[in-house]
This record gives sequence, structure tokens and C-alpha cells, in this order.
Amino acid sequence: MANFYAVSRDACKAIVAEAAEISGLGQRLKDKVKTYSKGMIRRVLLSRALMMRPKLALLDEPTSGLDVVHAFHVRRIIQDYVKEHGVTVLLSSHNMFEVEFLCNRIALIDEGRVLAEGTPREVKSYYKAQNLEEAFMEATKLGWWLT
Amino acid sequence: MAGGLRNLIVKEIKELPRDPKILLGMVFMPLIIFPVIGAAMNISTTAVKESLREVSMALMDLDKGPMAESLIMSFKALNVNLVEIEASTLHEALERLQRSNVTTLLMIPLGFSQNLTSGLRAELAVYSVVRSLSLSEEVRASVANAPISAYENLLVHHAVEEAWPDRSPETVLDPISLRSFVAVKGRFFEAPPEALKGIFLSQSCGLPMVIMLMLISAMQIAATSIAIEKEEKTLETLLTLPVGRLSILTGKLAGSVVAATVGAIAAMIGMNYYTSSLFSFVPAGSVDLEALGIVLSPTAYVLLGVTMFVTIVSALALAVCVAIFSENVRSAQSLVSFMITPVIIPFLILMFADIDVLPLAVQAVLYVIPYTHSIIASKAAFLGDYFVVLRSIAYISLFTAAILYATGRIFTTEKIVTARITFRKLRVKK
Repeated sequence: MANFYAVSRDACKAIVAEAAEISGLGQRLKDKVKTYSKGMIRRVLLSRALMMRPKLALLDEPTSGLDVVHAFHVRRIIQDYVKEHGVTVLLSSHNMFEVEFLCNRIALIDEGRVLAEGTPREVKSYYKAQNLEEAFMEATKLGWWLT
Repeated sequence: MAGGLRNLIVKEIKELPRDPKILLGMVFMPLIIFPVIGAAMNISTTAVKESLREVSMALMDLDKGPMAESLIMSFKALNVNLVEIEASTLHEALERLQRSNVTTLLMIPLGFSQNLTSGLRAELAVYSVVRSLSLSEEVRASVANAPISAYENLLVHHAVEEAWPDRSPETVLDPISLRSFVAVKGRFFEAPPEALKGIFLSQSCGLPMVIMLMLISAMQIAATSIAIEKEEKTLETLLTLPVGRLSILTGKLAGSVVAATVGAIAAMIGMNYYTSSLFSFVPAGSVDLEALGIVLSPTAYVLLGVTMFVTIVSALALAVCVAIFSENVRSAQSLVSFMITPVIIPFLILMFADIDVLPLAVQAVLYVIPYTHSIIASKAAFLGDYFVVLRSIAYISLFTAAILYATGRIFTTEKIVTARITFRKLRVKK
């Protein structure tokens, strides 16, 4: 994959080294992918997407189905990478706490329609919600029968 | 862009040996299976030959006369060992024959010599025990025929020589000498037509069979490689790469061509061993193919190579085009299995008949199928009919261009990710 982006052999090696560092898999990188857990595969895929320092990375539910440890690692990779390299990440997630933790700007989308847009603080205050989950419930009125 | 395409081709080739189906099914199977079948056939035919090298027959000589003696000599001259059976009656002799491991009994009845010397018809009896329905048993049972007919020939020659001492026996027994001439590529050669027919069949069937085998496996590889990308969701990743989508398509086709070529070489090596084992007992023909000009000239080789190349590319493009609409590897393979039918049908029909002798409707259908032209071209190449070969190449190339255009169009749209043909919709809901 690095070959597609690298202009020279050295650049290719540097990209691969960066991917290895991002994944944080250490010596396990030498093992076959089929022996990896779901979380390890997700870390490899994430490092593959970020290794060439894209201006914009699209991440579709990067932590779905992962255990706490791997989800924690994946979130930390995204957070650190954005800070260090100024990469923009467009992330989709059903986990509102993850969204609140990671994102600077958010959009609440329901059935293909954008219901609200802004910083997490703006959206929460607009819906007078404690957190983004409550804001989402308010925006979509999905929980009306519970009240 | 060129570097991107090179990377894609390298990626596709690297992925080939990782798929055990390709390595086992396309390379190892033909390399192992064909020689094993050939060796098995060879073992059995060698065993038959060995068993016939020293054939024993039981003998019951009731005549004991000079003619019986000379008959026994002719058996010995042909390496047939005659063992005198000790029995007083024929019934007893036959019972002993059935208990022994000898298959055949030659019975020379009383008066055999006297009948022959006095110009009467003499009788001989051969009793064979068939213990199994195998080729070797059949050959053993008929082992008495050759020495008896040799002895008969000898008697006839003697009789003719006595009757016409001034003439050669051949002028009486075989008064007409027939010489057959066959025209090949406009030149006449002395050879029996049936000998040439066999050569044409072996020359014209061999290459189409390799083409067919190669096409079937190449189509499956190409379809599988697209389906794997779709199943494992790596197609989307491929589409994000900074390379054109047509490069991705070219990479897929190139990978499949490499796999098909390796597979074809393996199949050819295996088949070559298989056929050489199978026909090892057939004596080499007296017809010199080189003298007849039924060998491929360098031009024919090049044209055949081009034919095979365009044929493979067209089949691959068709397989990739179909695989785009698959959901997973299984559905891709079932879709491709439908595509294999037009590859097999022309091969089966044209193996036995020339296209010109077929009904017009069948000819029309066959001419539409591009793989018919591959077989026609391979036959024409042996006869040096380059116009037919070039015409076939042109047709297959046009077909390939059309399919590649259609595949390219699909590849450059989002249909590559979303297109699906599901069999679920066809199911009747209960």
C-alpha cells in the first residue's frame, strides 16, 4: 500500500515504519493477519489509513464491536494523530460518548437528514442536554413514548 | 500511474499463491493428477504387455502327424509356449484347463495332417477360459489367432507355389497393389488417409483442450479475485488508491493471465506425460509430419500465441464483468459456471466435426461464440491457413474490446460497489 503513495524506496520504508508505530502491535506485526483479533485487525486498518498522512481521513465506526482495551487504543491513535499531524478526521459513530470525546464539530444525522450541527457544547446547549446521547434523543424525538 | 499499475499487478500476483485453491487446483492438481492417471494406465498396459511376453497355452495333440508338428513349430516361432496336457478325453482336458492358470487350449484333432496333405479342409479347436472381463484376458484368449493365421499363410503360399511354380505367390493372393496419396497444403504425399486423420485429430484436439482448460481456470480465478475483494470489503480500499479504476481492472486481468499461464503450463506438462504414457504402446506412425508440412511454422506459432492471448483476455474480461455483480466468492463462482458453457460447447462439437458440416443454425450460433474461433484458429494454424487465423483473432479481439469497454464502464461508476445479483429474489416465499 505504501508503494502507491511513496515517491522513493526510502519514503516507502518511512511510511511502513510509521504504520507499524501507529498500530502499536510491536512484534505481533510479523505474525499472520489471520491470527489477529478483531481489535488488532482494526488497528492495522487504521494505521494503513493514517500512515500516508492524508489531509482528510474517513473513519466509519472505527471502534464498533471492539473490547474496551482495543477501543481505548483506537481512540487514542485517532486523537494523537490528529493533534500531531494536523490531519482532519471525518468519523461516523453510534457511540455518542465516543463522539463527544473525539470530535471538535459534530452533526446529528437521522435517516439521512442532518438534524443538528456544531461543536458538541453548542449542540448540547441547544437541546438543553447533559450529554450528546440525550441531545440525539431530543433531536430525533425517538424516546417520546418513554416520557 | 504506470508505477501504480505495476504495484497492482505485483499485488495480484503475490495474492495468487496465498489462495490455496489456485495453487492446488491449478498448478499441483494438473501436475499430479494427469501423470498419475497416465502412470496408472501405463502400469496396466505394461502389465498386459509383460503378461503376453511369455504366453503359455495348453496343447492336446491327438494327431501327432507332421503337419501338427509344423503347426507347433509356428507357435514356438512366435514365442507361444505350448504345454502338452495329459488327458485321455477332451472332457478331462477341459476340466484340467479350468483348474490350471492357463487360459487357452489348442486341440489338434485326429486326421489333421492327413486332411491337409490330401487337400481337404482340416479342423483345429481353440478353447478359452474367460476368468475376468479385462483387456489382458481378452488378449490372452485370442493369443492363438496370430500363430494359426501365420501357419495358414504358409500353407497357402506353399499351395500357390505348387500350383503356379513360375509366379510369385503375391501376384495370385494380392493381385492389386494400392498406393494412397493425400494432398496437404496443395502438395500430394503418399500416405493412407486414415493415418492422417489420426494425426489431424491429435493435433487439432490437443491445443483446443489446453485452451479450454486454461479458460475455465482463468475465468474462475478472475471472478474469485474480484469476489474476494467484495466479500472482504477491500474493494473500497482499492478504490481509494491514487490509481485509475481501469488500472485496477488491468491489474486484476494481468494477475489472472499469469495464473492461467502457469496453470496452462502445468496442465500441458501433465497432459503431455499423460498422453505419452497412454499411447506408449502405440507404434510410432510411418507418416513424417515435417515432410507433410503439418508442423507449426514460426508465423503460425506467433499467430497461435496471439489467438490464445486474446482468447484468455476475452474470457477474463467476461468473468470480471460477471463477478462485479456477485455478492461473494460462492455467487461469483456460480455466475462464472454459467459462462463456462459457451467455452465447452464449441470444444465438444468441433472436436468431432468441422463447422462446415454442421446445420446452418448451429453454425450461426457457434460463430457468435468467440471461443469457437479459438478452436477454428488452432486447427487452421496447423494447415497454414493464416487468413482464417487472422479472421478469428479479429473477431475475438472485437468481442474482447466490447466486453472490456462494458467492464470498464461499470468499473468507473459506483456500480462496482453496489451492483448485486442475488438469487434470493428468485426464491418463492412460503
